[in-house]
Amino acid sequence: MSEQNRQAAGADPTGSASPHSATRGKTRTPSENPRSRGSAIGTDYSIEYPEEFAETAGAHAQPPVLTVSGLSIDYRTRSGESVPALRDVGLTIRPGSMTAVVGESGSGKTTTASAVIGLLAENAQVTDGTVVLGTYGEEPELDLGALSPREWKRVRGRRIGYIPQDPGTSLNPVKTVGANVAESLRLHTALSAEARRARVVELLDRVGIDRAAMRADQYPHELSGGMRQRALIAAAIAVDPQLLIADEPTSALDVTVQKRILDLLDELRREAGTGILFITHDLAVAAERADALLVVRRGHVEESGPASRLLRHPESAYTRRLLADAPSMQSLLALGGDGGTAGGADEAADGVAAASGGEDSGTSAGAGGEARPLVEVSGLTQVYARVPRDEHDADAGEQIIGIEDVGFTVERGTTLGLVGESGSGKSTIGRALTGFLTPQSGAIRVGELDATRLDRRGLRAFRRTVQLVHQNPASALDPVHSVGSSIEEPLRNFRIGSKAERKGLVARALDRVALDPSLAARRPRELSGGQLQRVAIARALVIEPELVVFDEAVSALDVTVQAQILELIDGLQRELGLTYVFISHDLAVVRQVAHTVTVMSAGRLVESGPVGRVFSQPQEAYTKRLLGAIPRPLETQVLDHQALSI
Amino acid sequence: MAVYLAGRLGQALLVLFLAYTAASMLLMILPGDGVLARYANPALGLSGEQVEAIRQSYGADAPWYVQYWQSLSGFLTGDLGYSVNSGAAVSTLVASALPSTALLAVSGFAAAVVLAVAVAVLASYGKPRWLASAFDSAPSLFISVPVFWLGIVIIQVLSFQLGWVTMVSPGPLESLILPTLTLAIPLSAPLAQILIRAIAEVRAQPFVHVTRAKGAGEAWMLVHSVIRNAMLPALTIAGLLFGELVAGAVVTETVFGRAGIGALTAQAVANRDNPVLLAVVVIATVGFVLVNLLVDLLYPVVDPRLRHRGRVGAAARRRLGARAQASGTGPSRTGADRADQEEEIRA
Amino acid sequence: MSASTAHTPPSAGTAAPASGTPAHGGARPAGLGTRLRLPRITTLIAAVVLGVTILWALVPGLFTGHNPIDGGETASLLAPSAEHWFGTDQIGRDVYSRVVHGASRSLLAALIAVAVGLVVGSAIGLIAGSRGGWVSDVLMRIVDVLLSIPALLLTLTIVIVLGFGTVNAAIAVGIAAIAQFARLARAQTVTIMQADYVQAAYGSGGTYWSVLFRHVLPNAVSAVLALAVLQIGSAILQISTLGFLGYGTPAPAPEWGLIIAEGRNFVATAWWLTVLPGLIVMAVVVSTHRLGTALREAAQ
Repeated sequence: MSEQNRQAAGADPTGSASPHSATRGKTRTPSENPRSRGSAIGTDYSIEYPEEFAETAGAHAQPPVLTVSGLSIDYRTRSGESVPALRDVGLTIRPGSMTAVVGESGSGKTTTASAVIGLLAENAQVTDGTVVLGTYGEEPELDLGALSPREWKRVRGRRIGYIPQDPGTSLNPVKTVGANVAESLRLHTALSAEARRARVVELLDRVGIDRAAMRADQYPHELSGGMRQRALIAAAIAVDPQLLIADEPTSALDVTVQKRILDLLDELRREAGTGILFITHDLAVAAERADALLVVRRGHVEESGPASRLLRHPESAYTRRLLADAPSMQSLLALGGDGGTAGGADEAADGVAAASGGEDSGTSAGAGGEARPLVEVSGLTQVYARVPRDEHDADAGEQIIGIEDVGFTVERGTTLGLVGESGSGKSTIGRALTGFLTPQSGAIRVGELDATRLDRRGLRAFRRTVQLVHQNPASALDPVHSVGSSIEEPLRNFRIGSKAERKGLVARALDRVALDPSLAARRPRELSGGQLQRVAIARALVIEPELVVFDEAVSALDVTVQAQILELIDGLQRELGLTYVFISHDLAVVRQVAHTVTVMSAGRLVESGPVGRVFSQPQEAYTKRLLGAIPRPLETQVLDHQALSI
Repeated sequence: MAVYLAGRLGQALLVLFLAYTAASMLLMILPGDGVLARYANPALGLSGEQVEAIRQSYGADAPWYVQYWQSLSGFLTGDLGYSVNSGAAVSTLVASALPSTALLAVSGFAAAVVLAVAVAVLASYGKPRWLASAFDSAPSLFISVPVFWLGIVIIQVLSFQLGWVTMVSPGPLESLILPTLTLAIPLSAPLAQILIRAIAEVRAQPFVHVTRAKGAGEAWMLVHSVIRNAMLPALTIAGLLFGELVAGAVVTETVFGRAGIGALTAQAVANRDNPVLLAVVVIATVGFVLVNLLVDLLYPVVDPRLRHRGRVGAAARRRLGARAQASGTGPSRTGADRADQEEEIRA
Repeated sequence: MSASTAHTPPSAGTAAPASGTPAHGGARPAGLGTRLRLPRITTLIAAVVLGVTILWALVPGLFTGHNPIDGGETASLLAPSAEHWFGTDQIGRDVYSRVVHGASRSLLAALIAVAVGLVVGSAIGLIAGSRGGWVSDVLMRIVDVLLSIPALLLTLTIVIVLGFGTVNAAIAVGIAAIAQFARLARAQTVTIMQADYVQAAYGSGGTYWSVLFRHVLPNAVSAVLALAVLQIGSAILQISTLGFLGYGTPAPAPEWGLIIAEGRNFVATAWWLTVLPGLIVMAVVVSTHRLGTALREAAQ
């Protein structure tokens, strides 16, 4: 089956009847072009696309794997009305290419994927349009909208593979990994048990899982997130489907792991000529890897076209805003690799960089003062366990669960970015900084207080100095109380002001975070994620702390909302002279907001310094690898474009 | 793993010991003197010395801690005391009553499981929709029916009216049918409820969705993906079911006039025969504890996540316990947390 | 970082309220949603049934003119008729009237039982859940003991000690119910204490007591209330079982279990003596079950 796809993807050098290839004298095929990421060639869309892409390698001759045109879907709500979910969506996927559907939550991107695999919710109704699956070897072309449930069972898994989002819950926990991967084989082939096992081991090996035979007998919970996602990919390609639907396959993974998974997907479509429908909210990832992009918003296609064109010349305002707001785009957009950053972060960073000279030091003069740093941490240690690292995604050596010997300083009025992947220990530091954890050893000085030597009264006083903003604002606010009551709680606890005065303080706090003071009477469930996070920030600021720790505070927000929140806290920092410690796994976000950055890995501090320096001249291998894994769509697009136009 | 089991065993023994102490306090120590109450009845016409002698032979004149210790050591060695009513050794009474009750319990439990599974599957997968809804409401109905009333009605309808089963000198198997049915219907309700909920939860899980995306049909998924995962929460209510089984046995035997532990208990309460009641309570408690221990042994077999020693296993147990507490399904760690979902089912 | 929570679709970035998106998680066939919305209608019926029962308990005279204790000159074992809705029993008493008058006894007993269980059990659970440590262990061991003795045996034991009678039966059932409430209260407390907003409350300078009263109690109340309603039904069943076995208030008091026990000997000829009162009991218990389930679903 993959042979056919390979041929279809243009491995035929004689190039069936393309006039241009005769002129060029040589057809560029995927395997010949070392720069190619599969095929930047051969995708087309419902709108016209630049000719420069059409001329390469007999693109027209290949029948598309998937053609969606004019797809419209409604949802019937309980009360009987119809809510539109998708309107007039169209896309085409050719063999070996990847089309990405990019959108924020509620945009309809997941609905598109569900429609293609025929697993829409019961209350969903296709009101218009067609979805056509192309021929595949002996298999005929199929109108997916007209299939019976029985026919669907022969298509799903066999001609269309599905890669789900969350590796944590997408594998049956009571079955071995091998049994999970073998499900498609059991459903669609008549292989014996031994043959199935052999194929499973072969598949696991193909997706890059080490010791495949051993892993096949393990259970999902014994594998890391990256390995589980690979296993899911193995399960999806088990019967060699012509189309893969990847539904946010890397959203739950660390950025270094993400890169490897995306590389794997590229390999697969290159070798087997599989078409990939890639659903994501991350424009940078989409733009880096996909050949074509479809930007959706509230069920409508805002814009579609070749990825490189969309990137460099976006037509719709929404696309432009997504590009502007995406942190990694922003930091890398300006040509020259390093790029500038928006806002005052850069200026302050330069100031600090000049003063402290690259490494953190406790004696540097901060921006604007000769006072000692507000926050001084040294020798912070909280080791829960030491385990050997056994996943082949990571380096050899030991992994510390917790942190060991961490030290850094933060000047007053600046932001320290604390960066690391999962398990790096950054959250542990956050808990220690905010007084929720007494470390085994080390010292934490914030202002005049030492957080490690606090009794109960001291801890309460400490809380007036240091506040924490959580990742998930919905769970950080008591659902039973009104938003205003939650903001008032710190004031009440510390007996600040009379009842009337407190109401005024709450109103002012809401105003400061750009929320209407009348929202004070609402319950959390009535507000959106962005609004809730603003409320959480208002609550943190209402008692006028000196240090605010943000623990992944924007990670759960949509990109446009994220940008607004970052802008808000940036403004507040300047207005109120606040000091921040910003914990995040997202380097691009940190690049935007932080003045200094500390990189953590496996419980140890890897590198720290001013953010400009660390990002442009990383010293340590891990930092380099981390930076290298950030999607760089612009660079890859530029390079490919150059390669193709030669 | 061995540590875990040893810990559970230790806890179980502690609970048993405490339960025994509480029960014996209530039944033996507090009421003081059942012997006196029984034999001092003027209708018996015993003299004061004779009563005193009888008391001494029962050991009822000793101070409470001596009585307690004697009773405890007796229980541990198989001597369960003597019935105040009949004077027979309680162990003999129990031994002769146990087989009949055990038979009823086993058949009732088996029938309840079959019924519960049938109801759960039909409620989850039944077509048309109204049929599934009807079966979905069935457990709620079954759990509300008074067992004693059900027995009477079943006798009336199935035996007297329809004549399907005879109550007049029936064979051993025939005499089991009606009591089993009476026992099984209310017993199946909590199991069916939890199965329905578990199946619904499992079917909403991402991995089921992924399997569906591979082209599996509902039937294939039920057998290969859903069942084993849905069993986990069902295991946790085993203790609850045992308790209901005991209660059901007592009432059913009374209604159907069967000899057994239930009838023994009813007589003991009516006659204030405390030693017998104490023995029954202890035996039932031992049974409950054994059932829970068995379930604890079964968990890791059914759920591989719990087999892991160390961090992963402990984290899995914690996570599952918390999920159990929050959602009311899933295994829990200690005996106290275990049947968190019981509160949702008992009605 | 918990990787699985990193980017999963949380809330829409716009100001639209949360209720907007209908099943946009899209591809999952609604396993839970396929069941019809039956509870709505049945919840209403359940509420009506319970309302009537409460009225029976409060003003029985409003519903029946017959004397529940003394049948007077009325013929015995009459079949149900317009005059006697449930017929008459073996000494000529109107059965319907007995059932109506029995309601107050049963309901009152059930309320006592649930009150005992709720107050004591919730207190235990709250303390165990919020304190943790050895306090929690000790308290939950006690609860374990209450649990490991099958409920009927436990109530029988207590009834033997306290003596027969409906009130004593109620107390016994209440003691057995303590374990259920303690279990739930502890589970709720533990879950709530782990929530981010509790950590945030401590971070805002809260103390143990302020957190308990401002956050734990209000969030736990709805689940506990739902359990209380469920337990009322369960208590009615248990108390009537005790009455049936003869450990409740003795004859001639109209207690539901006793009524059924008395009618048992005539079941072949006078089925209405057992069947109809039993149906009433069942209806009341089913109604509490429905109501309690509805409350619990609303709490989640």
